[in-house]
Amino acid sequence: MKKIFLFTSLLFVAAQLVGCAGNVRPQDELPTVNDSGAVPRPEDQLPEKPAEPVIPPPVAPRVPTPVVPNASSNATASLVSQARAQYQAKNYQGAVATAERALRIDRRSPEVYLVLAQSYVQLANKQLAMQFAQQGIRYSQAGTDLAKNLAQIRDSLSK
Amino acid sequence: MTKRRFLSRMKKPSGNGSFHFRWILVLWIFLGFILLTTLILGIWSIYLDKVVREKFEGKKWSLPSRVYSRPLELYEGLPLTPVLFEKELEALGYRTLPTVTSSGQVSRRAASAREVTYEILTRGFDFWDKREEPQKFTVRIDDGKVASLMDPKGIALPLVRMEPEEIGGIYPNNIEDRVLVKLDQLPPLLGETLLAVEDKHFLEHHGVSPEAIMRAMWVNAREGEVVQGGSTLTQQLVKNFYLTSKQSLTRKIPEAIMSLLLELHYSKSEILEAYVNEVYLGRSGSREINGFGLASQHYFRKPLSELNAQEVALLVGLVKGASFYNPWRNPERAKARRNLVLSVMHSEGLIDDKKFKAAQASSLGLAAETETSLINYPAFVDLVKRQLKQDYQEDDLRKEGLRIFTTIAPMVQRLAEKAVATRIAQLEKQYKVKDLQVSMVVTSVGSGEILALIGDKNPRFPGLNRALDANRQIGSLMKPFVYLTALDQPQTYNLGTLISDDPVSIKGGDGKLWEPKNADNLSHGNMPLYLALAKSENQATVRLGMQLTVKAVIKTVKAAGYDGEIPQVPSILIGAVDMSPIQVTNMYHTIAAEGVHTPLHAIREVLNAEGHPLKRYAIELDQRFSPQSTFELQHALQAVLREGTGRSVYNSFPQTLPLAGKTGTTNDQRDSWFAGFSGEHLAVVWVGKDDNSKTPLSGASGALQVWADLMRQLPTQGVNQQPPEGVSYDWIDTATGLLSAEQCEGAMWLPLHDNYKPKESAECKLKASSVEHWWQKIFQ
Repeated sequence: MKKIFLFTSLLFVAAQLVGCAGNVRPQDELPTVNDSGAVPRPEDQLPEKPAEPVIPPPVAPRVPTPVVPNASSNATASLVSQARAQYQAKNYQGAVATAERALRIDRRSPEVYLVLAQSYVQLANKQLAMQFAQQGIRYSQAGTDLAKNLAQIRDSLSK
Repeated sequence: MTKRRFLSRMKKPSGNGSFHFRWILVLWIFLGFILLTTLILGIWSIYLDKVVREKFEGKKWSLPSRVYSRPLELYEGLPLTPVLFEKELEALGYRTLPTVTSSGQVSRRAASAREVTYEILTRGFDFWDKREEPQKFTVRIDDGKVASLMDPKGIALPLVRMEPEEIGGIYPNNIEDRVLVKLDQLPPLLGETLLAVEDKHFLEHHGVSPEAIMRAMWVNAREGEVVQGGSTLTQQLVKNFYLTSKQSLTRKIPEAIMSLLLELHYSKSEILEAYVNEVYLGRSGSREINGFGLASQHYFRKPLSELNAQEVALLVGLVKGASFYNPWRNPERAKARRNLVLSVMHSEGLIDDKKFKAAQASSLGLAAETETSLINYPAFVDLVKRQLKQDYQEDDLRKEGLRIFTTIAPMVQRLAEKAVATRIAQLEKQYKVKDLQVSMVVTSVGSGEILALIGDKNPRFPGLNRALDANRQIGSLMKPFVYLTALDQPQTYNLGTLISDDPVSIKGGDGKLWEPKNADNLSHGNMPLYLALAKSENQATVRLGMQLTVKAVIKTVKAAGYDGEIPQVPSILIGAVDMSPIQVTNMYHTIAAEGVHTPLHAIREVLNAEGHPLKRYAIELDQRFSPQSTFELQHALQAVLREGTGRSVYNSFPQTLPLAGKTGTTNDQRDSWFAGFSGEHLAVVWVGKDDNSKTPLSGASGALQVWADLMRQLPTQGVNQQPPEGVSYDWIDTATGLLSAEQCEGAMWLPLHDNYKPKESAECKLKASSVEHWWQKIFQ
C-alpha cells in the first residue's frame, strides 16, 4: 500500500514537473534562447508532435469576460421603449429624462445612448449629442445598425 | 359746607329752556358718539375686510421647499439585500402586515435570511415626468439581488419606481411648516370628527355662535377663570391666521368682526380647508407643525389617506393643545384625549361599536420621534442648497414650496453613516486618539450623482461640512494622475514600462534641493509603472512626473475635473496640494467612469408647488481621457488593493470582486485618505483632525477602513474587466518591461495598448512554483 502511494506520488510529481515545463515550452525541459535572446512565447509555438497525455497543452492567456451578466436588460429595454415613444411624440426633454433613468440602470447600453444622442440633436445641443453618440459607439458592436446610426449622428455633427 | 351747597343746589329752581338745551346737547353728544363710533367701526370694518380678503385670497402661506431623495427603482438584477430594502420601506413609512390591503403596506415572507419575498402596495407619487399610480407587486430578493418582480397576476414587471423619501426642507425664517391638503383630499372621517369635536354647528352659524359664547361665559364666570372658549372653528381660524394667540377682550372684538366678514365672503368649505391647513398641531425642534397633512407625516409617517380611526382621533384631539397632549412626551394624557374623541366619534355614529372598542384598546401607534427630522442629512442638503442658489433666489427657496428631487440614496447614506460612526469610534479607541474627524462622498459611477455625503463624524450634526469645505493636502491621491498622464502617451508608456525608483533630487527655483523619500526610506531600483503606483513609491512617481513635466500632470488633473489652482512645482506630483473631498471625488469619478468626465451633481429636477416642472439637471458627459489609458490605470488601481498599499482590504472581500482605489497619507500622517471604486460606486474618505495636527493613521489604517466598512455592506458590482477596443492582455516581464509568458518568473499579465505592445520578448526563467495571481482569481 505504502509502495503504491509512493509510486503514485512520484508519478504525480513527475507529471507536474513535465506539465510545468509543457505549459510554457512543450518541446523542451528548459527554455531555449532565440536569436534575439528572448524566449519564444507560447502562442507562437506549436508542439511538433503530440505530447505525452499527462502534459497539458500550452496555456493561452485567458480572455476576461464581464464579471456580472447584465440582468437589468428588461428594465433598460422598457425605459428605452418609453423614451423612444416620447421622442416620436417630439417630447425630447421627456425622452432625455427617461433615457437617463435607463442610463442609471445600465450605463453600457448603446440603445440608451442612441436615444440621448438623437434627443439632443433635436434639442440643438450638439456637444452633448456628439458625446452621447461617441459613448454609444464605444459600447455597440461594430457593424450593427445601432453602431451605424450612432456613427451617422457623430459624422453629421462633426461636419 | 358741602351739605349747604348740596341743599342750595337742590333748592335752586330750574328753568325749562335750560333743561331742554341740556338734553338736546346730551342727545347730540350721544348721537355724535354713535355716529363717530359707527364711523370708526365702519372704517375699521372696511380695513378688517380688506385684511381678511387680501390674506385669504392671496398666497395664504409661505411654503418651505421640500427635498426628496432619489426614488428606488426596482428591477430584476438590482443588487439589493432584504435588510437594506426593509430599512428603505421603514423610512417611507410602510407598515408590515400579514396581508396587504391598502397603500403603504407590505407583507413579508422569508425563505431564509437571504431570500425574502415581499408583497407591496405603493402609494403613488407625482414625479417630474408623470404620476406613478399606486401599484401592487411582488418582489423577491435572493442572494443579494432582486430575483423577480411581478404583478399580482404573476406577470413579470420590468420596473417599479417607488416613491422617494422626503429628506428635509428649506424653511422660512419662522420655520412654519405644512403640507397643503385640499378639502377633497381630507378623509371624510377626519372632517366629520373635527366638526363634531370642535364646532358642532359649523354649518349653521355665521362665524360667531352667541349660544356658545354665552355658555362659555357662564362656565368661566362660575369657575372664576377662563376654562372654556366659545370660539367657532371660523374664529379659531381667524385667531391663528390673522391675529395673535393671546386671549383678551380687545382681540375678541376684531376676531368676531373678522369671522363674520370671512363667512360673508367665503364658503364653509373654503374656510374649513384653510383651517385644516392652518391649525397648529405640534413642534419638532424649532419647526412648527401646522395642518393635518404634515401632522399625519410627523406623528405617523404616512399620508392622511392612510390614517385609521384612532389616528384620526389623536390628531383631532391635539387641536385642543398640541403641546399639552404631545403624545411622545405625555402618552397617557394623549391617549385619554384620543379616547375622548373616539367617544364623540362613536356617539355621533361615525364609527361602530366594534371599531370603537378596538380603537380605544389600541396603542398610540406613533412613529419614532426624531429630534433632527427638520433635516435628516444636513451635509447633503447643504450641498443641494448651494447648487440651487446658482439658479434660485433664497426667498423663493424658503417660501415658494418648490419640490426638489435629489440624487441621495438613503440606503447608501445610512450605510455610510454607520460605517463612519462605528469605525471612527473604533479608531479613536484603538489608537488612543481624540477628536478625529471624517468626511465622505459616495457617487454613482457614470451618472456622477451623489448618493451620500457626510461632513462630520456625527452625520446629523449640521456644522462644518468637511466634505465640501475642508481643503486638505491629498498626498498620494495625486499619483494616479501622474500615471494617467503617462498612459495617455501609449507610444512611450505602458503599465510594464520600467521607471527607476532610485533617489531623486530636484533643484528648486530658489536653488534648494528637493529630495523626496519613499515611505520606507528605501529605494527599489527599476519598477514597472503599475507596481510603482500600487506600492505608492514617491521617488519613482516624482521621476516619472518630471519626465512628463509638471505642467502636463497639472493638465491631466484639470481635465479630470479639478477646478482650483495648482502651483506649478514638483511637490504637487506627490500631492502637495489642498483639495476638498468633493473635489477629489470629481477627479476620481473621471477615472472610475473610464475617462468620461461628468460634473458631480446632487439635484435631478425642481418642480413648483403645483407640481409643474421648472428645471432639470441633465447628465452631461465629456470624454477627457481615452478608454484605453483609463482601463490600464484602473488595472493598476486594482493592483493597489491586491498587492499594494491597500491590500489589507481583501481580508474581508471576496477575491472575485474587483475593486480599485488609492490610499493617500500626508506628512506626519496629518491626513488619511482613500479614494476607491467598484463598477457602480465611488467613495472618497478623509480622516484627520480639524487643527491639522498629527494622527497615528495612514491612508490604509484610517480612511481605507471606513471605505471598506461601507463597501462590505453595499451591494455593488465589480470594476469592469472587459478591455475596450484596442486593448488586450499580455504577459510582461517585470524586470525588463518586455513580453514574457505565463510560467516565466516575473511575468505579469497586464492590459496593453494593441498598437504599442513591446516588440521583443524577455528571457524566460521558469518559475519554481505556480502561484495564482489576483487577476486569475477574478476570471475564475
